[in-house]
Amino acid sequence: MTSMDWERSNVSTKGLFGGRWWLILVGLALGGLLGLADFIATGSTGRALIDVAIVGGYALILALFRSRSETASVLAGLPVDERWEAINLHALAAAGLIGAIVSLTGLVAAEVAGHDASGFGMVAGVIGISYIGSVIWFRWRL
Amino acid sequence: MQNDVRKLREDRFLSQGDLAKHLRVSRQTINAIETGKYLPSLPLAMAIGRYFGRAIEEVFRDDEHGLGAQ
Repeated sequence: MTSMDWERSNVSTKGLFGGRWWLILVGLALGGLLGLADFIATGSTGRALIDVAIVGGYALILALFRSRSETASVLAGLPVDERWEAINLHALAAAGLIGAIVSLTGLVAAEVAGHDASGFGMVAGVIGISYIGSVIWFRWRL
Repeated sequence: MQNDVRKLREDRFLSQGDLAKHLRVSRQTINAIETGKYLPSLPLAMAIGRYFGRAIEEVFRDDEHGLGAQ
């Protein structure tokens, strides 16, 4: 095994986005989906275009700067080396933890206030089940 | 965990960027290794040792409270 083998690791997030244009296309597709949902909900073309511009613009900026900035490279899904890969994994773990805390807090708060808590419950459930599933999966892979 | 990466690099008049380029990692990663903020993977530690012509344990030293310490 060489120092560069991390690039070919099965658990690497590298390769999630194959290239610059793929990243831009994914950003535009996601923005388009959000814009379409916004348009269906509100009937506002302006709001839909803003959704496309925000998500597509974010992807465009990452695609343009990923070769100049290691941080942009990580955000684009292409960490430049094993340390940035570790930073990416730590950031994902932190984001997952914050998501779990927010969804559980929202679930409890909505229940106490007598509001519909199903949205928070669904997100909390997905986070919890995917965490358990990931532990079981990576138990065999790592 | 301590290491002699900075000393070995400076002895050869290499910049962090030079070493990073050879090892195909970022300059910031070399800096993080030298300052002890980041512990490299075994393959990268082996590559560093190989580059300087040293065994891993000659470049990276565990402290007396490390894993397996008696």
